[in-house]
Amino acid sequence: MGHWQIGRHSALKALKELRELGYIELKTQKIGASIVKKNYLTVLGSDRLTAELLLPLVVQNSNNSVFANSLISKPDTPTESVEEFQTINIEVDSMGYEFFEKQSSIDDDEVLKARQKTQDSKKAEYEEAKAKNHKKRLSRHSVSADKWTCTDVGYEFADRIYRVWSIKPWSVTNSRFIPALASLRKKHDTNGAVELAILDLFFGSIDFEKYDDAEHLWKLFVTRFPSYVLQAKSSMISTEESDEELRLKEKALARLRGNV
Amino acid sequence: MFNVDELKLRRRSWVKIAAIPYNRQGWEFKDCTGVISSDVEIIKEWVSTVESGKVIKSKGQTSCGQGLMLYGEPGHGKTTLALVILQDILRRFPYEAFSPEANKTLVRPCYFLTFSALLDLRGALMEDPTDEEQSLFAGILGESVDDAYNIRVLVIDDVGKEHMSGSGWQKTMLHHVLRTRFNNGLPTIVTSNIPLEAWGAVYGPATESFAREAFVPIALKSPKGDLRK
Repeated sequence: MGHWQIGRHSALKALKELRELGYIELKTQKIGASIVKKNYLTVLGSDRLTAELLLPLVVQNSNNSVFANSLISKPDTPTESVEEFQTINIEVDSMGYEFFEKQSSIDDDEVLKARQKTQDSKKAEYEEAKAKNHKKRLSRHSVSADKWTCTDVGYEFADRIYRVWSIKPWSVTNSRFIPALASLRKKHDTNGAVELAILDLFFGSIDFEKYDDAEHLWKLFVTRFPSYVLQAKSSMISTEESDEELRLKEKALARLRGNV
Repeated sequence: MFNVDELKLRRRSWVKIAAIPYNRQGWEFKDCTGVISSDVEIIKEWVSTVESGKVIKSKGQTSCGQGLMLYGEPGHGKTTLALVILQDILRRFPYEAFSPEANKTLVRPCYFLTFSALLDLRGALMEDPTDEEQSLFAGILGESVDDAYNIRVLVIDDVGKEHMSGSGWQKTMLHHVLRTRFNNGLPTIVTSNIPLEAWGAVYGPATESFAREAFVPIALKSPKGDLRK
């Protein structure tokens, strides 16, 4: 066994050397959704560790690290009290940068917990950023509905489904809903105000118990959109007769009377 | 109100076959109390013109085939007025006012149906239609070979309440029915919640333009508001 240096390359070399000697073995295992490789102490390695490393530590009552190079390289000094110690399995942990970062953590549960914590933290940051971005879109309420863009209508739709089902708004706004809405707007010649009226009709007609999926809801809205256009447009029209209408009515009456 | 059962047999059968809802059978203009009188006057003028023979199949007349369009918000009496007009025509008009062919007996001079029902009827014709359905639809268009079946005055109720598909088939059907009847010199009464000036946006500019020629528009607005409430 050679004299080890400090550094990643040296550590890898040392581990390789230990593997070749049969003191440790590399095993592949699945943790959560990822596959990792870990080095485990073999029986032979355990015996050697006990004999060479742990026993002298006890004898010397030392607080030094069990992985200190100076101790590993010490010559064999077996004593009679070797049998008094039980063999323990020490996990050397995975390779790569994690090896250095988590060298002190040898418990799988702790690794998983730490990983989960990091993931949760990242998710919370992501959702916070999305919510902040979503709040910016609330400025649409300061503009009259007929000037709303498809994005504004999309955000209104998302807000409404959030109010009913607590579905995260960006699960709609980040989907293909807004491009689909733009296409419908072009085809049916609608504007924000008409689409808002369609939203009212849509949410007034669906069974809230039946649906709870964002994608299902926006696709249903897109499917039903054409059937609501007529009703929505007519609901926005004033029935007051303008001067022009009165003129046209007189013209129609003149035609009836044969005065044209 | 008048009693339908007291009418002469032929006129009684016309009322029965016109599909007039039971709850409005026997209604007259004087029963329409919630409607502005000036609107009723225009309607009566139109009825008089039809009675005088200047509308139904009147060759060369500007009023030939000209119908009525009653539009406004729900509950302001559009459908009721349309049904009153039909019954007034069926009850009072001299037989000659319907411009029948010589020695022909009219089967169905007037008829009432909703636009949705008309679309359903047209849909039924595409599958396995009965003779009755075929005869009725030909009569609605005014294209029945036997003129006795051509409907002289047709009411199409609730235009604008139909289901609108993405293909726009309903719009095409509306234009087709109204145009065909107009060309055949047969007036139509349309009730709608869509004002005539908005027909361009909903049914297309061509349909609006045609409707300007084919109808006398009347915006019904009851001073009492929604008469159903």
